[in-house]
Amino acid sequence: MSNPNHSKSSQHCHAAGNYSQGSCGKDACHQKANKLSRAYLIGFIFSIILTLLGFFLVTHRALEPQGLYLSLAVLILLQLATQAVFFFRLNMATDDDRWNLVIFLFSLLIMLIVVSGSLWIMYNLNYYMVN
Amino acid sequence: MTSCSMNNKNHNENSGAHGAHGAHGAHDAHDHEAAVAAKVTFGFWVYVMTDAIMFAAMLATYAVLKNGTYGGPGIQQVAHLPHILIQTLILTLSAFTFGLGFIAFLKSKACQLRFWLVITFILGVVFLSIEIGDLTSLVKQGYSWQTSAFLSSYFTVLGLHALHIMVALLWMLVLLVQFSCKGFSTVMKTRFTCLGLFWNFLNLMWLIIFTVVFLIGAV
Repeated sequence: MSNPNHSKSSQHCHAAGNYSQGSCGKDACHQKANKLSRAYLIGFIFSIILTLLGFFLVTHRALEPQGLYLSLAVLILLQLATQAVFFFRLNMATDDDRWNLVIFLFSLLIMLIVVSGSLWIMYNLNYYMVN
Repeated sequence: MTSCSMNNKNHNENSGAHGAHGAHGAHDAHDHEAAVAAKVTFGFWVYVMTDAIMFAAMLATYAVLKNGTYGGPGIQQVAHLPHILIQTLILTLSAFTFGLGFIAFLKSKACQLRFWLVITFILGVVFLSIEIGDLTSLVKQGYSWQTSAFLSSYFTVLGLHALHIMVALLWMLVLLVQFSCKGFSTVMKTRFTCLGLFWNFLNLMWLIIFTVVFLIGAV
């Protein structure tokens, strides 16, 4: 399906990373696109490894429950970091990139408050209802 | 796939459409277009993050209601782990194939772009059909969302994710058709960038659901 005789079509190029939308020369574009594809490949491999690691740790009961919870927490944080860096391409190179990162971190803060606050208050309610 | 070269419209035609700017010339028009594209992408990123907050709230609800099984089945009876692992691998793979499609767009390769988008679409459909199959077999066994607080939250979390996947797949189809008409342009690049953000986000949300609901449930 992919046609190798497509030299005509690659005369113009739209690459400039994920977010910054400038135009650039053909070679620079292709370099950026290649860099992006390397990042996607690394991210994909890391992501698959982390997924399989978590799955086999749990299905083979490799650790005590406490250790399993802890290692799952570590794995999901690594997964989040992998996705943020290699797929979402969060970085601090330009002003636009920094704003994307700020929104991401602020949302993480909100999510932390929502989740931990909910669990805390519901646990307490449950505790005082029973006792 | 026969008419691939037809869609390689010259990029300059697009900036030519902004000829109304007159004295500013094509370069300024292109800058303006790029600034609009950056704003749209940023706005969409903000939306994606608010969507993540909604998912976080739903997962917190699930975590609170997890033990409220009301004598019905718990997570270990409900979840079919091999299916879940296959779903996870399929969705991660589809995020990667979408990335390859986006790179094909950056390199202005229409055939490759279509190929990877169709692959991504098929992977998404497979993911969705496994998910819907599992949920409907659960309902057929008599364990619907009305059975217990746990199952309500379970169906809510998975249903919310499946609904997002459906919307993303529809969007992917629309973009494939639009690409046939509009070809390579800044507008289409912005749309593919936004869909890519959305698709990666859905993959990330599934990875979190995979850990929080299924792996922790299986411990």
